[in-house]
Amino acid sequence: MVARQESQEGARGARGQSSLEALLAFAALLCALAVLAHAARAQSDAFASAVGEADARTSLAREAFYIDLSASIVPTAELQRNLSGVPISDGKWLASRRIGAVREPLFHRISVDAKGRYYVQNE
Amino acid sequence: MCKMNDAKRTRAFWSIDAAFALVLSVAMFAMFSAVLYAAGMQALDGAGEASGALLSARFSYYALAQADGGKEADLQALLEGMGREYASLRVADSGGELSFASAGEKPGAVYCTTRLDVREGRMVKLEACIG
Repeated sequence: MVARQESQEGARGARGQSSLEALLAFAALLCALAVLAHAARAQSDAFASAVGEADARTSLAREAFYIDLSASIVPTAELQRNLSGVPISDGKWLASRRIGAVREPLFHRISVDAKGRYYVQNE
Repeated sequence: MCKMNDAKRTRAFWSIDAAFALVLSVAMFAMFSAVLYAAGMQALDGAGEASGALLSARFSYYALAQADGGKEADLQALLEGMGREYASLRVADSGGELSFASAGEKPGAVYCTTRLDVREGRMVKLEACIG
């Protein structure tokens, strides 16, 4: 009788240890998955940032090309209002509206009139 | 006895299985990250190439406009104003090089544009490089 009771208690203890191990293993798995998910999100953000920067740089370079080309052809050209870049540094640089760190130098200066319209002149 | 061995074998199987799944998922994640990183870098490189090529084209237009106005482009002032490291202008005709001017130190990537121009009644080739 006593031996049977001891055997039952032993089995219960082993089951308890086994379920604790399973719980710990599950927690470790969840932690690993959380770390992976976090890293994946960071990686995805970095990719989106790189693609966004590349996109901003390409469109800014294209706009800078058209601005300098216009200034080479005609004495004064009015620029579109919906440019993806804004003139900075006394009009000699074009900075992206979306990513301020993306900039393109210009060979001609952009000036702004009283009504806020941008012009480029063949100096 | 046999039952205990079976239980041990099952536990061992599950732990190996779980560990293998974890290793696989980490490996797949690493590959996915590498692909994303490479794609991002490629996009940035492509944008840099496009920007450099368009910049050298703009430089060649500028140099031509300056030459048409009877002026020589001040390359050193240009580099300082544009935050670039190197600029050069080479004019050549069929007989060889007529003039060459450069400023700054050549960096790793230099973008060049070659254009044709007429100077003093002669067809010349203008090569504008910027880096």
